[in-house]
Amino acid sequence: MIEIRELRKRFGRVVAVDGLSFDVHPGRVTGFLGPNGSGKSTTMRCMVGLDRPEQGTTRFDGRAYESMRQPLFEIGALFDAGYVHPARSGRNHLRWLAATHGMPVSRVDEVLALVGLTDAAGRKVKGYSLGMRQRLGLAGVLLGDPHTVILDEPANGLDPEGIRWIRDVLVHLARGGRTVLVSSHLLSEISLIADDLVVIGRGRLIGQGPVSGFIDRYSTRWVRVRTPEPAVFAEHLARSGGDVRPIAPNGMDIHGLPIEQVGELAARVGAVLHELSPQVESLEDAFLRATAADQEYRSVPAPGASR
Amino acid sequence: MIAAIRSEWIKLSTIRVTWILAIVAVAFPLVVALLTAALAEDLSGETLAGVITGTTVVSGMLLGVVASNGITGEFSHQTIRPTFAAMPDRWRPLLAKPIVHVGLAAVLTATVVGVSWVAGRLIAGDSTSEDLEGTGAALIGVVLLAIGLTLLGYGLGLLIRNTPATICVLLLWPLIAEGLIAGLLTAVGAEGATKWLPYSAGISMAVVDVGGGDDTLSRVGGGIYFFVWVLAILAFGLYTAKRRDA
Repeated sequence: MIEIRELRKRFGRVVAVDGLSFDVHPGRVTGFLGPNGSGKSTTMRCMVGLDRPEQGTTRFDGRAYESMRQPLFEIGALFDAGYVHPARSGRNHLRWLAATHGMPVSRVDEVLALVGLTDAAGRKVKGYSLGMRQRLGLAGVLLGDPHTVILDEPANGLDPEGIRWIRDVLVHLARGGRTVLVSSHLLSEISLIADDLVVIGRGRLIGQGPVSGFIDRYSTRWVRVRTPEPAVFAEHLARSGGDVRPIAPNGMDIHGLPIEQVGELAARVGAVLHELSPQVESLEDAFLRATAADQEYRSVPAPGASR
Repeated sequence: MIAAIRSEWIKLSTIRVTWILAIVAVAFPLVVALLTAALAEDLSGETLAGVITGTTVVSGMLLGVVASNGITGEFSHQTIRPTFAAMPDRWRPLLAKPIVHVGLAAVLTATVVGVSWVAGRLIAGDSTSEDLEGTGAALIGVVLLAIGLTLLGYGLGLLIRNTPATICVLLLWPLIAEGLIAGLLTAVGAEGATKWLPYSAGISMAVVDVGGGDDTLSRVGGGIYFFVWVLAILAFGLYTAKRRDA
């Protein structure tokens, strides 16, 4: 379990992390979300002592990272797949990392096989694609078979096969009882793998808890109906207090009425329904709503885009 | 600490530029000394030692470049982050790296000096005359100077963190900056102060005939003064690397 308490980090006048506290539980994948510049990467670096926080603590099963003599056996962290010397081969990169903990070269070869890089292991990293560098970074994380895994944007640059692979790896690690904290901009990916979410904005905690709870809290629910006589049924719905928004063909989205009430109303007025389904916004919608006040960089809406 | 040293050795030995610079550092004094011994007539031990120390100073500078590359490369490629993440007690990697570089510099320069001296004397044969008193001290001194330049390259790299800038400071300081400062001091009538220029002081370790008088520091005095500078820069570099964000 990871416990972060009152973490604060400032770069000059900019407060990157502002009194952040949250927990990451074992056996679950925890997605770490926030807009660009929200302090995710800084938080992760502070957790393992790479950045020096002004105040606050991070405990891994009750212990500070700095107190660990051989942390790779306990914590595997990947912050950027680019943290590799381009003139060194992938295998030699892992060799020096393994040597810090007295691990044998055979372990290097094991993790290279695990991430599918055996054939490219002897090549210089400057010839690797971004996806291959991500795999190499993950090999470094897995080197010590740690019980806690911290990954910053691990799916960056991966192809669809690679994204599915990393997803399976993370879920497998969590189901094996490990603590997994992963940040990503790919909210669709996070929605597929995360059990819990920690959402931050401008260095402060916005929300923490199960994914479903976060979506429930920050998203809108409505009812979708499809009927051969939409105009007639729309009148009944409006009279019952529903906010009806037509969608083609022969459909409508109804806000403000529970699905049970819409179904009962259809039965009462004899409306034929081809569809009656609950609708909920995506994690992306919930995320954008939750962080709307904390977006540091805002873009102009694209032509024709809905906001 | 042994694990950290082993790790740093893997880092150092798996970059090709290390070996290119090391080969040049070994080959340059060796070739020049052997050619001198073969071609010069009536080569004295003092002259041979002067050739060896003069060329090995260049080797020391190259090994300083290797050391500065070793640490600035960590910052420019950000491998310092996985390094510190693997060893949260930063003293371990920060001390292991100079140990490895100093070891390499000491072995290479001691070998090249020893081989050049013995082979040079053998090639020169009977024409080699009696050694002067300072010859052995200068040959040892140039090895110490190479170690000092290695530590200086590492210390400057820790402080500057940028590869080209560090190499510029490391090479331009002795080759240009001290010469300009010495010229300036002479122009204002303060010739005596030039002996306090750090690199000039360090060079006195590797000079066969140090001479004497008020204008130069002694071999031991100059060496101590040079190493005080080197260790001060190194200590400041280590302090900042320990405290700053990685």
